[in-house]
Amino acid sequence: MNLKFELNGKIIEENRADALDNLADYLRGELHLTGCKIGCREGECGACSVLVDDRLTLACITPLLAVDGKKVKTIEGIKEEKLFKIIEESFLEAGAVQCGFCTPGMAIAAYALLKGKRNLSRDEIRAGISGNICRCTGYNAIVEAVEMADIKRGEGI
Amino acid sequence: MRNCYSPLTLEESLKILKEIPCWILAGGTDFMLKKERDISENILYLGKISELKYIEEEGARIKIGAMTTLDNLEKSQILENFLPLLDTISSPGIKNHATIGGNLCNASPIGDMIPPMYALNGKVVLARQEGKREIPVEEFFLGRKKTALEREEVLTEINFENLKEYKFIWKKVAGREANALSKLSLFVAYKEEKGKLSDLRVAIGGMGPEVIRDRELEEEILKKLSLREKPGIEGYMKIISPITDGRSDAAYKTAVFRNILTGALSEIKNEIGEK
Repeated sequence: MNLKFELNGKIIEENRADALDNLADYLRGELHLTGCKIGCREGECGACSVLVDDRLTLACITPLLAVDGKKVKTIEGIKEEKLFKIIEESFLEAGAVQCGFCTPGMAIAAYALLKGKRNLSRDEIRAGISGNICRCTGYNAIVEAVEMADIKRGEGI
Repeated sequence: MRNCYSPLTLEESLKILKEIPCWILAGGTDFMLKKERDISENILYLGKISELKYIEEEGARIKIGAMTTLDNLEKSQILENFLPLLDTISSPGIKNHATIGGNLCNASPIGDMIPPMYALNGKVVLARQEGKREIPVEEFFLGRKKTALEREEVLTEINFENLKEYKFIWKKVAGREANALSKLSLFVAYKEEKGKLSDLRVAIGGMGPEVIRDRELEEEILKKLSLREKPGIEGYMKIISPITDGRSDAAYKTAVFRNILTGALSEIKNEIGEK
């Protein structure tokens, strides 16, 4: 099946023998975009989070055919954006990173959440990252980091 | 090797199905976990069909297109009543892709959208090239993972009663609060005005091959509650048939079911008793 989509701003055309190959294996194994982590392979842990048309998406349970005609962004594709820089800073400042395995997925979830709404409550933040599992931090520092980024970013970001 | 089809219209997808047997793929959030994925079966992907994405109020019913996502449901003002239920389902990354049609066709006894559809007298619309048929959910679900959907058909819509003046109770029992599959669930809809209870419906998920709803038992409970008496639930204890599975065992489910049903009915009894 012929697929055409945008990945981190570049147009990609692929002729896939099996269009049900999952997006996470494709991003990591074929394109070496290793910011997309594979934790559970069943949509439970959120480590493989990416954006599809700016919406939070779990790459491990996304068949390639579902991104045909869409815009896919991985953490590599947003790392130069102002909002991402603020998220990165806030994660460091709040101590929201320990082993780091969940961090790219967590940052993508935070990015999707912050893009969607301003002045988030703590409950909204918790709900927004509820699909991302972290075994180290106990989440409080991550919630603080997202809250910090929301305050820091100011108008227009 | 399998062929994958990704048509832009319903008409086109029905034409493909008429000619070629296909596994129908909606949001893929469940399908991608399955062994079925490895079977070399043709795939009909419905994700590009925008005409199957809608939420409408029509007369006394709400109609939802099969490819409407859980996120769409959550953001719809028409479905404000369902927010407490939608809040307990999956996570944002899944809600952005999982569809109501997929949840129904998957026919899991613990699909969280199914009990409310039983309680609200839901009907599904099944389309094929020659036309469409509409059947009540009770006739659609034929057992664990079994539905009345025929090989050439696509489920295009679910519609159900728009009960604005009713109150809903939703109890979901799962391993944790966020992003967890139900072990069992209970959806109760009731109509109460100034202490007078005029209707009550009980739908139970995860306690049998299909969602359970029994109108006679509902009638008995309604009578008892109207007399301000504590309703018995032994009738329900007789018709449940939970199984032991990876998430919990049958004895646990039975005990918890007794507790949540008793709890929900006491909530209603207390509410009408105060008026």
